Amino acid sequence: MHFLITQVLNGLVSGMILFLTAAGLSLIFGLMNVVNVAHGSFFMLGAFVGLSVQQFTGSFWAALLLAPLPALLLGAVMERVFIRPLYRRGHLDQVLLTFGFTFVFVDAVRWLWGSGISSVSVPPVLDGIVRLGGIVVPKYRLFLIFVGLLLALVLWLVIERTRLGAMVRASVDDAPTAEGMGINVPLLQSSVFAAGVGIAALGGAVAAPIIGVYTGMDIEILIPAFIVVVIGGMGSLSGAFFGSVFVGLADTLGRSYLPGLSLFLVYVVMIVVLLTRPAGLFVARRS
Amino acid sequence: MTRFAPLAAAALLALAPAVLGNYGIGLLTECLIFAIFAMSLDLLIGYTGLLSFGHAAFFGLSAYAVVTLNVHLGVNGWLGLGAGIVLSTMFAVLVGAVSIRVSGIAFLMVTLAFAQLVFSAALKWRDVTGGTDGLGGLVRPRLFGSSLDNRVTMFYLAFACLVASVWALRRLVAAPLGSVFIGIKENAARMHALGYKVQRFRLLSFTIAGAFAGLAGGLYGLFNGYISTDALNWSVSGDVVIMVILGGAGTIVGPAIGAAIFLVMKDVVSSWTDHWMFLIGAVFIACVMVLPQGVWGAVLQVTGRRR
Amino acid sequence: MVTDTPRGITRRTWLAGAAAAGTLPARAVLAQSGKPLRIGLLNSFSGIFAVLGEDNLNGMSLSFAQDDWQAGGRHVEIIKEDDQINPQIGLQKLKKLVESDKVDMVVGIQASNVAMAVLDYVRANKVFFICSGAGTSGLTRNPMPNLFRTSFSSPQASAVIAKWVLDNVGPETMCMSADYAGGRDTISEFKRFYVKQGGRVSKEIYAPLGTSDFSVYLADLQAANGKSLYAFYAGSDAVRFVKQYAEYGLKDKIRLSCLGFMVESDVLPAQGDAALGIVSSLHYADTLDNPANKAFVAAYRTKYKKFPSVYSEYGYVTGEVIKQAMKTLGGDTSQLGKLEEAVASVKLDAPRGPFAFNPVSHNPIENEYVRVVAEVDGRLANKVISTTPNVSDTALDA
Repeated sequence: MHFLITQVLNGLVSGMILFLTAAGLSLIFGLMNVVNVAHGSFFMLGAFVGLSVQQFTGSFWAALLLAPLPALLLGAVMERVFIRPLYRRGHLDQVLLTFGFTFVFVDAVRWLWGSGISSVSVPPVLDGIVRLGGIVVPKYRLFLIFVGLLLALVLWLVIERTRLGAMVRASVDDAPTAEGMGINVPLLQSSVFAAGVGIAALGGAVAAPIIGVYTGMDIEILIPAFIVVVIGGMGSLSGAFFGSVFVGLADTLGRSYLPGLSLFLVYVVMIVVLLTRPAGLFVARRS
Repeated sequence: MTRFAPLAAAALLALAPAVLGNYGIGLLTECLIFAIFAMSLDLLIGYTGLLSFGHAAFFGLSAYAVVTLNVHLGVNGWLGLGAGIVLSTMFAVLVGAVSIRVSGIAFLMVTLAFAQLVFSAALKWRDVTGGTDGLGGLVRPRLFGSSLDNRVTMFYLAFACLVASVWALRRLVAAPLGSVFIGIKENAARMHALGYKVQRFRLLSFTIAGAFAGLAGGLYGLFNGYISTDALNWSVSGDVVIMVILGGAGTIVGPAIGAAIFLVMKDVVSSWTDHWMFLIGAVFIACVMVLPQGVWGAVLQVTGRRR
Repeated sequence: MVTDTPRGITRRTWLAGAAAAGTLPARAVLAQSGKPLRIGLLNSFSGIFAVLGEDNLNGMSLSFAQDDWQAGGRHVEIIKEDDQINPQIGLQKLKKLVESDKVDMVVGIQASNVAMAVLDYVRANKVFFICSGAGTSGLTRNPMPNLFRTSFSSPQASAVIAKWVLDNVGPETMCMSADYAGGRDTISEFKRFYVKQGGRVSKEIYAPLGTSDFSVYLADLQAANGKSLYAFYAGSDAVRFVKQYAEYGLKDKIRLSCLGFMVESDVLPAQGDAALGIVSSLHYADTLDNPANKAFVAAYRTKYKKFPSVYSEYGYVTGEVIKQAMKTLGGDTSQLGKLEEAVASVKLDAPRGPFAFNPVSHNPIENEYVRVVAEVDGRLANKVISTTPNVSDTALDA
């Protein structure tokens, strides 16, 4: 039983890391219908910026706070200059464009930070383990679950309970009508894109103490994040959240109880889900 | 005049070994093989409107068939090539039958998932595939008395296959069947209303694409004499999508040109500079922004020809 | 000089740098062959092995720079290619080096899959190839006159650590590595020696390649109640694994041992204190107390502002081997038989200790050291705790 609970906690941790990347990916798709292959690059960028901030200031908290900033800025510029002209041109062109950016980002990161692996240490307060009954959990992992849940809550509140959120929802549902109602859709799109990649950058910085900081982490997070988004339902925040938890748990429990099949499990699950619920598992069916 | 352009291009290509060194011939051969691979995917992307992101599976399966059958069982490379194409075609029927039930991004992800399953199987089945270390030691077969070990012979084999593929795909696209594919791409609902069994045609297109990818993969196995799981990696599926868009989706020759540009950039530019990734990325970005129809699409536009 | 930049040397500046060195006044009179000695360096300069490839190149260029880029009266040129850890690309680049650049010999290759992939080509085309990286034993299973290895063959290090675990930790251990050919081979070699000498492996865990969070498996270890773990990871995996192992408090519970690559100086700084106390076996440590190593470490630090890793030492030794062989030959590389003979007879007092080739397999005969991660002069380093002299790759097969 202890073993199962431990593995469920582990599954939640990996689910939260996934959520931090998938949330933005899903929103960007939902609002702009853009497939952002470069999303993982912002995850990587956030980890590296966080690393530098921590080396410079010595503060993990400063690193978390500042890590999303360059991504926000770059994201806004990227959306304005490159992605906007492509909205009408379909997914293929977006894929090629953002795929091009993954190359540029990786090379820029190598140039700035070198190609070695670095690690980020956690602040003393989060160092060490907690014993809950017979279960051993590193404190930082509990913190990570907390960050994921907090972010989910904040995003949910913003989208469901604020005026800004209402505008985003209106634009997701029907952009032309939203525009007609006086919503500045282009501005909204830039903001959501920047915020989405900013969250991914935050995800990179938060995940760094566990998975390290290295070039290649961009691609490693990208495919699982896409799986989450399609399983959960593209464009839906709650879909991204439950999709992340679902994939995190399925992957972790699969590795633990079916180690021989763990490589196959997530993909089989994805095929089954897409065939039975192509819109995603966690999306309320709309008429 | 323009009628003869393809013939002139083919003739020029056929003469290339006379001026190129051994290394250049090898590089060109690789370009020709990937040209077939990219053209096969374009049948899906450019003509039927199916964005497949798992095309490496059909390429890799066939390449594995050629190498493993020869190395483990001593099967002649030609038989292996035939077996590889059959295997890829059959697998395409299976994957196609399942994945055409969904469309758009879901289709992309389902095809990716199938390819990843094949990749994982190759990774796990080490006794046969050699896993990440791969499998080498292929004994190449002979063609008209000359071994495929000879770079020039290998080149002409790939060249002949490319010419045959271009011819076959041109015929296909020009035939009524091609019009049905394009009709499905433009407006599937309309085709359905006209009484076409849309799903059957989609499956047919997927199967044909799988067969040509199998041809390319089998040639690659013969050419390389070695195969590893890297050939099944999702990044190969990504690469070939890029080749198609770069050259121009929805044209026959475009993807072939895209393949050549892509490979030359990857192989040659990476020898010049450590920052080849930056350059490649910048070229992709520039292409999307400036040449929305792809390189060949732009050429066609300038010369005023339709595809 | 351009060649002094440890990172980001493009092929062109590299050649320019080498050429500049060649025009120094100290340059020897041109030997009979006159042509430069062109060395094709094929290694991983992108992806997870990038740092390893750079270290290897740095070590080699230090060796050549110490003789003003001269070897046997010929001026040395290095042409660098990146295999991107992809066998298909590696093979392509090798063909380019041999057929287009017409190099006299090829060195490098850290990734075992790339090394295995080029084997057929090396054999068929009689490419003179000195492997200065990958240690997979399959590479030299069928020896050939044109293939040498200056790094190691994996059984050498495995045997030594297996014995150490048996003697110092106990007759029962668990094993863990990534699920790929290299990882499985390393564990099975360890097992072979460990079991033969009376040990027992109670649990084996193979996590899929690309696993970034090991928590699932660490929970498994925690529940298993073993006393010893022998693990094999490299690069970013090594950093994550060692850190997470400590994070879960397993370090004090289950003694961790490994091949030295898991705690070499490319990953040790990132692992930090989490690595303290890990015992490993390897044929090198930058703390080795011998004159050759002291000189090497000092020169390397002056030139590159960091400590060398075992990969740097491989590169350095490769340079020394080539220089010595070229001296014997007077710079004449035209006859494969003579070239083989000259390289096979090289003996060195290398930084790693006495170095010679096994005349049959062409693998090195070298000392193996058991090392422990400790704080040495205010930095984390591997301290040698025991030495097994002159270990050959075949001596352990009996």
